[in-house]
Amino acid sequence: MSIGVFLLLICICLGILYIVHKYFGKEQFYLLGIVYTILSFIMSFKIVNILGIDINMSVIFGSGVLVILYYFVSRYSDVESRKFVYTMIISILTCIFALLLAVFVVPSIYDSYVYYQGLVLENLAIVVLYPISFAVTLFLSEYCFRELEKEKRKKIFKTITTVAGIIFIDTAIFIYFSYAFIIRFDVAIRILVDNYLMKVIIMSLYVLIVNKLFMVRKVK
Amino acid sequence: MNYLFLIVLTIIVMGLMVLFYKFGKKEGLFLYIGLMSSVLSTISYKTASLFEFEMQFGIPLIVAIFICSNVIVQRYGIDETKRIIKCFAFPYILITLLISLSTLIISSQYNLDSNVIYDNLFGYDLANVRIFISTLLSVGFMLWYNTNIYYYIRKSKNIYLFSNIVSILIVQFIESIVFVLISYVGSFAFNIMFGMAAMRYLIKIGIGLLGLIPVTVIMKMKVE
Repeated sequence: MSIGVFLLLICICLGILYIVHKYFGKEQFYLLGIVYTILSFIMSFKIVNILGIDINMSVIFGSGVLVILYYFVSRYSDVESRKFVYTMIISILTCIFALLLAVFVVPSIYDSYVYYQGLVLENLAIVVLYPISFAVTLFLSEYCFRELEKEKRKKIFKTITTVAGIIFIDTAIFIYFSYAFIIRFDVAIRILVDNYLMKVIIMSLYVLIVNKLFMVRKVK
Repeated sequence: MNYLFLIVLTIIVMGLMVLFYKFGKKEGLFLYIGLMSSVLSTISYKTASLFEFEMQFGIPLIVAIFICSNVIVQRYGIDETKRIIKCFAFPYILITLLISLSTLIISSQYNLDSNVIYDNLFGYDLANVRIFISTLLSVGFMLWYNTNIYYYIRKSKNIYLFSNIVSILIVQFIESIVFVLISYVGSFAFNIMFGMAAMRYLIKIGIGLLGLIPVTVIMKMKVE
């Protein structure tokens, strides 16, 4: 069941990318980027167990945002991809502000959603570190993807290798330090390794599929 | 304290509208609706005690979506209605459904408390489903109604502040009733529900009037 839902979420992430690429334009990719950013941030509060390894749920849609950035760098100008990065950062900050305000609001006597406080306050390290790692990853990825555009030979292989490096920095900032504060340092290392491997696999899969996607003719 | 938080959220939300218009113009406004809708899907379940009644905390985001749709109709005409509704509905439905879907995956033993809270907060629950449907229907349907009303007022009297105020007064009244009826019927007594709808309407009017400031700022900016 869990594996099925996990794979289903990956398929949905890629499926929507495909639909937006084929039938829609640049503006809809911006909207999709916002949706994936909010999804990855909210899902980052949950760790799941798939085949014995512990994975932070943000890996699926967080990788989706990186793939959209890769698409932007490949298709559109540098200004456009930089604009995309800023839009995503503003989106995540807005979501964090709204969530923090919702946490500190005095609930009504009928309010059954006092869970908000538990979710955010127990995971304050995630709330602080996720946007930082997200911003660092986006800026770094944008620079690397732009440099990779100049490469002529073995471009996909080089992209995947670069992505593996960027993901290491991302998971080291976000996963390691978050869970080191929330749980324990030794557990955090285990979760870091699990997440790193899973995110590299997912991201490599996404890059391979998106490169095939580029060959599909756009309707719009 | 709750009022202060509500005002802070309103200021942030209205400031963002100007920011998005400044850097994105027409496309920026559509993205803004998408962003508000995305954030709304994550905090729409949260209720706060305002004027002694249970209120949805995401009210400023809902009003901002309506005001933004008014700006779009004022600047670019009624033809954009479908796109406005799509920009609201697509992120709202997608985020709610996918987050709910993620609660079905078995949680890890690490950080167990948070995992349980996450599943309880976003899982498939009758109260969650009711709020999801009521927000989707009340905002989605009312956006269509709002753009039409705004357009016809604008046609008869092209003063954007007047058109905004009248459309807010009419549309938010219906929206408040529809939302409270779908979300809370059967859970609260009729007099409490009446109070909820009335307070929701009054708060929305207050936020809507504050929203006239970004509308004025945007209207004074140059058209593309």
